Amino acid sequence: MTDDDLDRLLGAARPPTAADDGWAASTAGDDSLAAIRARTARRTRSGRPSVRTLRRLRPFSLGIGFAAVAATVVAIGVAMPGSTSPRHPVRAGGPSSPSGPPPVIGAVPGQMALAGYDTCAAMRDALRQHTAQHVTARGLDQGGGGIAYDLREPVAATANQSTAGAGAASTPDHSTTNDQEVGADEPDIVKTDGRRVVSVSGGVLRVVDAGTRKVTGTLDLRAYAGAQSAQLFVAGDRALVILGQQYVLYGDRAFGALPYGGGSSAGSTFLLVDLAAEPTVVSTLHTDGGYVDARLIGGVARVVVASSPKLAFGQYNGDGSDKKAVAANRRVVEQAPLSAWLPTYQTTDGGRTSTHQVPCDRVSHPVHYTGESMVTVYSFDPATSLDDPKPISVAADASTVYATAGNLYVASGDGNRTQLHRFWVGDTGAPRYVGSGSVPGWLLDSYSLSEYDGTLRVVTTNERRQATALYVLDADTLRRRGEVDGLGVGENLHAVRFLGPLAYVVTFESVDPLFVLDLADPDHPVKAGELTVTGYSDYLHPVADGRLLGVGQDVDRRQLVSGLQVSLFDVADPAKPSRLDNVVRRHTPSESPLDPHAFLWWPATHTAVIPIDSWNPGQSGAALVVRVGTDHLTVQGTVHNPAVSTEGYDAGISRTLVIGDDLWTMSSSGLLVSSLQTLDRQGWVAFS
Amino acid sequence: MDRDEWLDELFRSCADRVLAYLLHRTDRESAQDVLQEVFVTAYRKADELPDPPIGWLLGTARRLLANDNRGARRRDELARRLATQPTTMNESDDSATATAVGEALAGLSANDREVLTLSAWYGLTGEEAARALGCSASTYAVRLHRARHRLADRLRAAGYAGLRSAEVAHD
Repeated sequence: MTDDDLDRLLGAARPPTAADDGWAASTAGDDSLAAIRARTARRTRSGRPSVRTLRRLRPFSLGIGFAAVAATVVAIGVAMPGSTSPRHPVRAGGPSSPSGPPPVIGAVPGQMALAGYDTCAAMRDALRQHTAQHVTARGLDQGGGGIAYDLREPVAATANQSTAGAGAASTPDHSTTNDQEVGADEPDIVKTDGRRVVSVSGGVLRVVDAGTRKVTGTLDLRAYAGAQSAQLFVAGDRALVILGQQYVLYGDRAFGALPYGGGSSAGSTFLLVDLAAEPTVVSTLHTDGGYVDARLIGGVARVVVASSPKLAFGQYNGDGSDKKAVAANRRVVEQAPLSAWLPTYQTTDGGRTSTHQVPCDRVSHPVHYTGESMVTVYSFDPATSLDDPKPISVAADASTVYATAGNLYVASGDGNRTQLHRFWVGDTGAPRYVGSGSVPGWLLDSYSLSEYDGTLRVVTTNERRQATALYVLDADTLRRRGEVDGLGVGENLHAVRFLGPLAYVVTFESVDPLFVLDLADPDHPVKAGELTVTGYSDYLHPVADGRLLGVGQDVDRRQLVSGLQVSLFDVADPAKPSRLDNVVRRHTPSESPLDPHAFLWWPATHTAVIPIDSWNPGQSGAALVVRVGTDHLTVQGTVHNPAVSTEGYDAGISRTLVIGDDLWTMSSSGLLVSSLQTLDRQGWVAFS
Repeated sequence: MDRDEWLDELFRSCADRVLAYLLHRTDRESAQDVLQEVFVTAYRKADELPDPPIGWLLGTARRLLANDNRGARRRDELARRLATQPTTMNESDDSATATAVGEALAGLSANDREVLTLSAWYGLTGEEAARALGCSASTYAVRLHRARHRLADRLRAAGYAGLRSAEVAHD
């Protein structure tokens, strides 16, 4: 085969994108260029950019292997029938309006391992020592090295508002974000309280009155980096806007030094926006660490960021002088001041900006740690201000956050082991670091973690052994009590869902293995049953007693993914799971894996709504509406939002909500209101 | 030409390819964020940009993307996308070949995929691709040669019809 042949074949395999047909000259391109101009203009006005060191890099150490072939495994575990807790409510999601602060969960736990440092000097020495052990010729593998040159001061964004919000009326039933755990709200791109819909899309925050279906206020955030992937919480008349990852390059870093090149985050910015009248930024917080995730628990926002020490390593030139480079980098670490490790943050409130450093008496460490990364949890009440975010830090890394109403767990992994750190957040004060533990393998996402009845259950995949395992840990010590190993050998983990005493695990591969787990004795869980079907689910949602809805992909004759599949499982008898019905939409890829926030379950009418994505330019996305019966699924229809422009760029539906009797579907072009009963169009709120 | 005009021209001529590169590797929102960051950076470093600039732009996009720390699910977006891509194609012979190639490509290392796609999908010359990857043109040539071999091996192992042209080439 000649190189030209290969290039031709490669060209044919190129997936089409929305950028292929003259995107840069389209109106969507105009918008993007305008946002770039807004930022370059700001830079010119603010003069010389400040220089500071920032480092954050997460090596892509784990490729999710390509798998052409799929089959479903639903493994089911039954835990602790003799448990002291009464029947655990199996949550069916849905229109639970936020109901007051959650009860305080248990007593404040004691410290289970050494947590603090004795003195600041002791901390500095320990961090130097732990960090120096991991220095390489390139600096630290966890982070990049060198000097970043970007800094974005929080500035007031321009606010627009047409008419003020309507007065209080009776609030209709409404859906809420499809959160993993009750009492721990997750940030998303749209929130509703039944009276209004607050969204952030394309870098613009909008308030829509649910009754009049009119945009009542907008706040253009596009002058901020990360505005395009902003998320928010809404609490009363306040929105906490979390700006997306802010990308920054190292000035002089060698491009090819790391597998995916060097790169770093410029920290994260959080905006507190008042929605009572014209949306206005009232307070800002900028952290030097990169945003990981957040939860709103009992009215308190808990924001997790991770930072790396600010160490000015020399440039790595890869000319075979590794030993010298390591020695030089080690010297950099050994001479670094404590402030290199201590996270810093800036708050702006009432026009005053102040810079703070996390004090050393609020920094802890696990027994084993490397000093290459620092996790900080900031806490604040959105009803007040961001100016006192009560940070606490732990010498650890973070990539996944899981929380209940009482505890927040931060997890990170190096590909071989997953480190887990527990923070108690049962009151409104600063979290308390309880301790750390670890399990083999790596986490898929937060749905792989579950706290239940004094235990923390963890599902991980071990890449080397290509197998999935479930671990039951004591939640107080994070020590292992029991495990089921060897699930789905040779397969990829695809979805995990814990519901009270039950655990569902989906893996997939070419043959059809099938597992049932019996966790009746958490110290000695065993395999108990299994189910095999074609295709796989990558999101599982409880829809009724003994019924589970799976959203995933079907597989065709060539064993290639062929389109969205929705499955209804009967899991009433954990030993005999079965599939009652399934719906397949060929050639209509859904977002895969499905973002749980994109899934809507409305129990009152037994309706599931799933966005169907499209990668093709000119093709608008849709939302599939499915009625779920006791033992069958019925496609009620699809809802299409109008395209955003003549090019039809990005008209996919990202979120769906229910308010009263209406289904709201959100795309970048606006919010379409349809009758939940008939799917007939009721109104259209354009995002212009 | 002032710097603003220069930015406009740069954007109009190159943003398509940069965005396509990003859309192949991340979600739409992150792609927009990184795209904007690439051009903001280009504006700031206008004096350092090589001509043609596409290799620098894609290399910058690549580095910015490297720190997208959204967890395991996004670790190899391109491989995932190639795995699910066949759903958007017609079931013709051409698409069967494309499927086979996509499958083989997804099975390669991320580095090999990067080396192969920079030229085949975004039309970079050897020199531009080398700049995007931060290596010398001669290193890129070697990497490309090896990656092509590995891709051909995979296709051969899969026994796909597209390889008939290989036999022709050997004649």
